[in-house]
Amino acid sequence: MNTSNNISIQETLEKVKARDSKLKKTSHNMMIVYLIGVIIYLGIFVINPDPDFKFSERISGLFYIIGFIILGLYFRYYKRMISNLDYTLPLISVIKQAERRYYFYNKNLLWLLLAVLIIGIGVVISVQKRLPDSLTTFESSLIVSISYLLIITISFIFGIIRWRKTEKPIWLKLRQALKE
Amino acid sequence: MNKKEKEDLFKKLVTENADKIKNICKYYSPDSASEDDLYQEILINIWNGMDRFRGDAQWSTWIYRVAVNTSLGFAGKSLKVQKLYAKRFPEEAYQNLPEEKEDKQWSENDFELLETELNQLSIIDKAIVTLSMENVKSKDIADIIGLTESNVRVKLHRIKQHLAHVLTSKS
Repeated sequence: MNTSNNISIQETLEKVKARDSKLKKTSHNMMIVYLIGVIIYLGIFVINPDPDFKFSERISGLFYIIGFIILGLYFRYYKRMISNLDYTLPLISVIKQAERRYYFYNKNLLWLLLAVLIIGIGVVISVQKRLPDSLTTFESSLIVSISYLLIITISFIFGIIRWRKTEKPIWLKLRQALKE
Repeated sequence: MNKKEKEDLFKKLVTENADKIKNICKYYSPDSASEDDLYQEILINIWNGMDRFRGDAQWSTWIYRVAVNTSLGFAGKSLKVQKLYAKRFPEEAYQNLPEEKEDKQWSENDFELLETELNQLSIIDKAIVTLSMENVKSKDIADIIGLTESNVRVKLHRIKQHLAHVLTSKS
């Protein structure tokens, strides 16, 4: 028996409305979370009236905030893109869109790299001050930069491995379909 | 179109096209539970896409387009290219596919071979096969997929030839 017959249109309409509203709510929540993050960091690092709070700490906080704003906008854009995906286009157009979306090195990666770079500057400024005084500013900055770069590189490698395992096979299928 | 008009149109479209959508769901679903999920997903995409309909095709063609795109796995956050379940094709449509097999009885082995071969086809060819199963005209298939009508005819002919060749040589 085909159980699809049991699904009423009314029930489906309720579901689509619920889903639409959930999607809107999730997007809204993400926006609020990042906004709160930016406000907290702004309060702690930039507005903080404590006279002992070093200027360099404030500058590093500013970099964190800029990085968070970029990440926040990136996820906002990503959410919007997902909720605006148009399945009503001809199949070839949908495949072209998906192929671009599933390619690891797409232009959106640049925004992530920019955010990582800006946060990295903030990390170097704030963490290098906590290293032993025997090190020069250049040496401690170099140690922090290399450590940060190492962590980012490892994360990037994990990202590529994950992409190769899960998304690359799909991307290859899409590319092959377009070639044909 | 206001909300009430949209709801009325949606109900009308779903009522008129329910069988078409369910058939497409059946080809891409291993069981009736998955079929229901896919059916819901298609209806959600029809609802979400209705505002984008510009009248460049008939509603029924447009609904096939949404159904095929959703069934192939383009909906939602994760994309996976769906498998075709040949055993769930209607018998008459099944007989219609590889021309050389028309008069023969289908064995279990034939079904398995056909299913394996169908799932090795490209995404576009899979879509062409499912739509031809539904006796959709080549012109409409071309509109749904975004190819020219002659291209669809050539592709369909090649797919049939290939499947017939595989079935006669392997079975």
